[in-house]
Formats: sequence, C-alpha cells, structure tokens
Amino acid sequence: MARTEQPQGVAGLPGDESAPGAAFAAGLNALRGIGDVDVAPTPRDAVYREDKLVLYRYRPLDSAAAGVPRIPVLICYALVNRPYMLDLQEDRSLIRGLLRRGLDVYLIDWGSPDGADRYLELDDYINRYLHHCVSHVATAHGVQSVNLLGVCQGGTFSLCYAALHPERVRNLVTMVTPVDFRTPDNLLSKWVQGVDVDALVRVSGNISGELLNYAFLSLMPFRLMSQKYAGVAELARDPAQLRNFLRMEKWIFDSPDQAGEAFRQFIMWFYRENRLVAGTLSIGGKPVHLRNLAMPVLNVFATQDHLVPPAATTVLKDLVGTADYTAYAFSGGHIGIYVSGRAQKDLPAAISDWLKSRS
Amino acid sequence: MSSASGPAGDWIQAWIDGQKAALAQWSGERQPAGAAGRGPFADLFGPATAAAQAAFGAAAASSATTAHWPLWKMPSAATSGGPGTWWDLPGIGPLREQHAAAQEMAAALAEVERLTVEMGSVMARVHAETLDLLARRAAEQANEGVPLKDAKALHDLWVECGEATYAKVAHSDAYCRLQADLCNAGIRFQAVECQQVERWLKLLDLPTRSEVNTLNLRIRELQRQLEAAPSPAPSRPKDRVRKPARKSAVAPAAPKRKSRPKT
Repeated sequence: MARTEQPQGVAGLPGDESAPGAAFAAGLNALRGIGDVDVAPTPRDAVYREDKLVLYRYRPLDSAAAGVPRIPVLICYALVNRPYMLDLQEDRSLIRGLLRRGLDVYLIDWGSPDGADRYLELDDYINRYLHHCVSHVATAHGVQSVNLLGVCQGGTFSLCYAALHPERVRNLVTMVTPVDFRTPDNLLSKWVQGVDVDALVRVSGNISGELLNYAFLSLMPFRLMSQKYAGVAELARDPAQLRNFLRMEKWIFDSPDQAGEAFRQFIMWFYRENRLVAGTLSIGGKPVHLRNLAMPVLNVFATQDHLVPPAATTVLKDLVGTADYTAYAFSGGHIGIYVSGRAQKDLPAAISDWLKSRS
Repeated sequence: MSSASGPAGDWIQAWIDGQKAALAQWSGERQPAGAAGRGPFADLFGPATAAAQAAFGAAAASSATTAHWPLWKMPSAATSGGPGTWWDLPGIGPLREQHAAAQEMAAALAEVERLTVEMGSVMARVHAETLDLLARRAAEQANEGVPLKDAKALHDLWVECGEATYAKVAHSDAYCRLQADLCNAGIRFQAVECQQVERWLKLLDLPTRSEVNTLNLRIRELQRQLEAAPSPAPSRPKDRVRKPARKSAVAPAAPKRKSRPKT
C-alpha cells in the first residue's frame, strides 16, 4: 500500500495543527465583515390582513406592466419556516421569476403564532384564512376561481382547500408537497409514530420552531451540522457566497412556532393516520376527497428530497379526479428547488408556461 | 501493521485511532441528562464539529427546557444515605401533596435520564461504526490509488460514512421507539413541572397558563357562536332610522344629553 504523506491541515495530528483552524478563522473573519443580510427584496404591498396573516401582492418588475391585466397566482406557503424563501434574494427568487414572466403574484404570510393562537385548527387555516385570501384575490380580479400554488405543507393545505372548494380553484400547482405521509423512506414520519402528540401539545401549547429545527437537522446531522459549517472556510474569499450562506442560515433558523392544535391535527391526521390518502380526512366537518380535484394539477417535486420523498408526492396522480395532471421532476433536494441556479432557470418558466396554457 | 500505519494511511489511521480513544473516554465519562458532556469530536474540525457534536444525543433537542433540571433533582435512597431517609416514604402529613408531587417529578426526571443515557449509547455506537467504516473506505480509496489528500477530504468522507451509518440506525424500529420513549418521558416530566409551577403561581395569585387557556377557549367558542349566528334580517323600511343629511364633512356635534332630573 502506498504510504500517504502527512496532509495539510489535520488538527490533532502532529506536524500541522494550524491550517484548518486558520482557514476556518479566515471564514469567520470574513463573516464578521459581512454583517447582517437582507432578504425578500422584491417590492410588494400588503393587500389583506386577518389576525396575524398578511396577504402580499408583488409589484410588477417592469413598471410599464403596471395596470396591464396579468394572470393572478396565489402562493400558499407552509406554516413551518418563513415564506421569504421564495424571494430570498434577487437572483434566487421564484417570485421574481414568475413576475418576470408576467404573472400577478400574491403570497400568504401566516405570521408567527403566539399563545393566543394555540387553539387555531386546520379548519381555521384552510377554510377561513386561505379561503379569505382566495376570495380577496378572486374579487380583486373579478373572477370566480384563482390559480393556487401550494408549497410544501402549504401544498397539502392547497390540496385540501381545492378538494373542499373546487369551484374556487382554477388551476392547482403543488410544489414539494407531501400527500402520502407513510412511505417507507419518510424518516420524519417514522419518528413521530410513537410520540404522544396529544400530550406534547397539551403540555407545550404551541410547538416551538426551535424544536422542529432540531428534528429537521437530526434527519441528516453529519451533513447539516458539520459539513455545512466546515464549508464556510471555502467561502471565505467570496463575500457574495458568504452572504448567500447567511441568508440561508437566517431562513433555516427563522422558524415560527406552530399553533398547537393545528400541529396536533396535522401530525395525527396526516403523519399518523395518513387520512389524505386513505380518504378519511375531514376538515371543518366536511370530507376532503382528492378525487374532487377536477381542475388541472401540476405537481412539482424534487428527486432528492429528504423531507418529502418523491414517493410521498407522486402518488397524487392516482388520487386526483382530473385527467389534466402533470408531474414535474426537479433534479435536486427540498431546498435546492427554491434556491439553486437551475431552479431559477427552469421552475418559473415551467410553472408560468403551464399556467398560461390553462388560463 | 501498527495502528499508526493502517491500510488507510498513517495519518488517517492515527486520526481514527485518536477518535476511537476519545470516543471510549467520552463513553466512560458521559454524564447523565442535562450535563454538557464534551464529545469525542469537539476538537477535530473546530467549531463546525462542535455544533454537530452538540446536536448528537437527543437531550440536545430539549436542552432549552432541561437546563434547570438540577432544580428538580431529589436525592435517591442510594445517594442520600439509604433507606433511612424520608424521601422514599409515601407522602404523609400536611405536606403529603407536595411530597407526592416532588416524588412524581423525580421519577419522571429519572426516566428521562435513563433514556438519555441509552440514547447516548446508541449515538456512541453510531460514531464508532462511522469510524470503522471510514477506515475501510479510506483504505479502499488508497488501494485504488486515490488516497485522501487532505483534511477536507477526510472530513467529507467522515460525513458520508456518518450519514450512511446513522441512516441505518435512525430508520430502525428500535431507534424510533427509543426516540419516542425519550420524547414522551420529556413530555411527562414537563407536565409534572407545569403542575408544580402552576401551584406556586396560584399561591401568589398570579395567572396560570391553564387559566389563560380557559379564557382562550371561551373566546373561541364565542367567536364561533357569532360566526354561526344568522345575520340580522334587513330591517323593514319603516323601522329604519332616517339619518340626517350631512351638510359637510365636519363631524356632527355629539347629541345633547338629556338633563337628568334633579333629585
């Protein structure tokens, strides 16, 4: 066997203990020079408020387009994490991509629940908040139904909403949206099966975003808690990359708490009992049947998604009632689908083309 | 072949041996729940790995709520001098309720500690198997003529081996059960803790979470009743109060109050 030379920079080994530390220190120094970072750069206006929810409408990027009728699309983001992931920075923004292609973009920001919101239910989120946002957009554009784009858990909400109110959804787009919560590769699902969620919510009230972050990080701890930060040393010479890194860090750990009762229902009904697939889900006393989805459906998923494995979402094809079902496989992970360079290039075009051909 | 000259290469083997020694030491010295033990990887890759190390062991997830655990730590028979102490007796006398509650809390905490130690053992096994796999993979690469060149390559391979090892464990029924048991034990402890805190708050006549919850639920019920109530029927024309035409945008003067009869 060929002997290998003592490499540069292996801490704890005789000979060279300084190099990795020096590289990392350089990374930290560069970070200090960066300071704070801005997110959500695209101009927008709050057009509807209810409790902690704010509905935003984005201004057209081209001022000449103001006043010109555009196809509206309402984005329903997840309760977990903040929706500015869709507009993280100018060159990493699904929203800008959609605006650039002439869509009129609305975004729901659910806000951050506090103790007064602990008894909010899925019924509140879907049949009240989301319904009111849909009504607002429909009224503003003088239409009966709107294009709805649901992201992650917001996609699950959108599926439920569209099944409950099919007459209000013209086209439905789902992105990295879990449908079958009990696929064998779903680690998060395996972990929650034995947890006493009733007791957790009874004792904790709202579920802290911090706790959820630990759960997400624990899915891939070596990568997410070691490799990612070791990589900072490599970014030290590139301030733009460091800023990107900081924006992602801000988004990942800027996690709102979850309203306790809605969380309990989501875990019990979806993760534990898989009611959406089983056809046994009711929200607000009304059954949610995916076969009610007679509108066109575009299902965008990521092929390397560790949070929503492809099998968890592609099953939608067999459950919807529409013949106009399109699956769009994005080669990447749950985060890359928002921020990767290829996502910026491909996704807005795919979504807007699909919507325009059906509007 | 000596341990410092393993199939993976001298420096790699030496590093792996060092980590195994640190892991063995850590496993032997590991403190029960709540103690911030120094893990075997704290010094390997600087602060980055310190963050990773902090996350291993399920206690980390609840560290925010367990930092004050020593407050609740009660002496067990074994640590307080044996069966002659009052602590193990069933509660009697005027402080019976407090005694029973404290016992319940101590039992809940002991269960959390037991399961945290068990989880720590599982994680130590993950680390050990990761190092074994790393040694094999590094040796394979060296034999294929593409040895690891630097610390970054070693770290990347360690991460890859770690994720592969961890995934097998994390998907297993035994691990899922252990994690759920630990989580549920933490919930039980927190429930008892909340009961105790609420008892003290009531003694001080301060509002408790239970009271706030009750009010919250009543408000929600009222809200639902309001939403479900039929809208008031449009009043008949003759019942309508005719509003005076406003002559200007100036707000009308407040109506004069009727003078109260003198008494």
